[in-house]
Amino acid sequence: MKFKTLTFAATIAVLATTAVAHKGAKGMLLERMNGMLAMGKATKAIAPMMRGLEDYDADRTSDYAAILQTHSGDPMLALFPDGMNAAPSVAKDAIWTNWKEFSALAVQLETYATALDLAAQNGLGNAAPANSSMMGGDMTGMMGADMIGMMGGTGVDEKTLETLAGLSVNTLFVQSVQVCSACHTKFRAEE
Amino acid sequence: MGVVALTVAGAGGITGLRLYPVAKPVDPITLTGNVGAGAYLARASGCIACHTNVEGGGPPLAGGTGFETPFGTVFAANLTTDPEFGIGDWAIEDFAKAVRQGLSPEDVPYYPVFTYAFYQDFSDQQIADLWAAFQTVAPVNEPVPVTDLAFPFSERDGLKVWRAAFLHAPRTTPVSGQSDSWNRGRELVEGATHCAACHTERNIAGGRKVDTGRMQGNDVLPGGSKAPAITSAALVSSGWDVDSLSYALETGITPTGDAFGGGMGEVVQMGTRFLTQEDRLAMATYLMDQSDE
Repeated sequence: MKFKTLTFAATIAVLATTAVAHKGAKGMLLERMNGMLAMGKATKAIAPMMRGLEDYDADRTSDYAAILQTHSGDPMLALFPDGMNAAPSVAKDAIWTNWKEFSALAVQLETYATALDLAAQNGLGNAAPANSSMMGGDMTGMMGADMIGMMGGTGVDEKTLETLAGLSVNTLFVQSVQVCSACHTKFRAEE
Repeated sequence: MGVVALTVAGAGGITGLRLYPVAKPVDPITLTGNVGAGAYLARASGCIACHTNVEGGGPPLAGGTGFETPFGTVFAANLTTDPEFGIGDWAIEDFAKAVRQGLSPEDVPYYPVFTYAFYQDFSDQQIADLWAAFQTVAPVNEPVPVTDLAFPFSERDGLKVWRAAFLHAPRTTPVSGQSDSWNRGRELVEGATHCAACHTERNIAGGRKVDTGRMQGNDVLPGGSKAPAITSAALVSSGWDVDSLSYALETGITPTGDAFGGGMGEVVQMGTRFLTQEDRLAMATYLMDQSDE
């Protein structure tokens, strides 16, 4: 009973926060903004574990991956029909003029989310940064391999799911949120 | 008659400014540069972020990024090794003068959108490292759009007056009694990574308010975006600490679970995520304790 009360209270709190943040949004617009909010809240909640500040729990990783999967890839793209944009949305019109890149990022996030789920049992690694190769002394020029990848449009390396699933969870987590940041940088207006 | 007199006086003033020397002599630099160290410094300094037209899908460091300022749009230069449109025909001393003094090989001042003010303390070794790294960039034989500001801002020699009033030395000098990490953070934050370029309020002439607006944020960045205050107090009140700030410089995640977009997203993606953990921690350590203010 106590649990139900707490859950209800938490739900109300989330809804209230959503209402404030997305005041005026309706229908599909509200749905996609709530999707972003859900991913942000989940990211905030799991970040301490991914940073090794809390005990690792594979189930939490899978739950987090499921949230990302729900709101990325095709489900995300379906909420961005051609030109559907209005306040309070902070989506840039560049989404539709550069749909190829936007959709690639959405799919890439889904791929990372799937990999996170597959890799959940791998646990946390030795905090190998996503771009450690750049700093490992093997950088032979200004334009290292990662840089070329970054200029390729998606902001992160293209990797197969199989390769990704072999990585540590924290590395995948970092790469996932870097996709979020790459997308926000190009396609979200700053308030 | 009055108009004629003003025109003559104005023309005389511009000619005078044109002849007024601002360049400091650059001693020959014969040091051998380290490509890796130079590429690292280039990322930290934002060379790649500003001189790559990501929005337009341009090649790395080929310039063309437009910065919409209140005075007009300034376009980032082509920094590839192309001799026609890039810096392929420069000597290392030209490069040193451009980076540390903000002057072209012909001593023409660059617009302060270029953050050379923060690079004034770069050592000859750092210049040699950067130069070595830039030599590895493939040439891109493409011009960038011409920066075309309205008069009087179109007169670059007028920037000599601006420099006299608003070009400040970077605050990179180590502070005794502080830790090595704090001082390294200070060197990066106040120098190479030039945080204050965006996060400090500017006056009507585009000069940074170094006394009253330092790290207090800026609501009118080029392109209409904003940068929040990043004084230590402001960072604390926004929920940051050394750990979360260091992590954000690697990943782009904020304490609220959001991911950086806009200019800060670019800074992380093209700059700070490539720094070492130690350097990100040093930056965060300094930012959270700018105690010499």
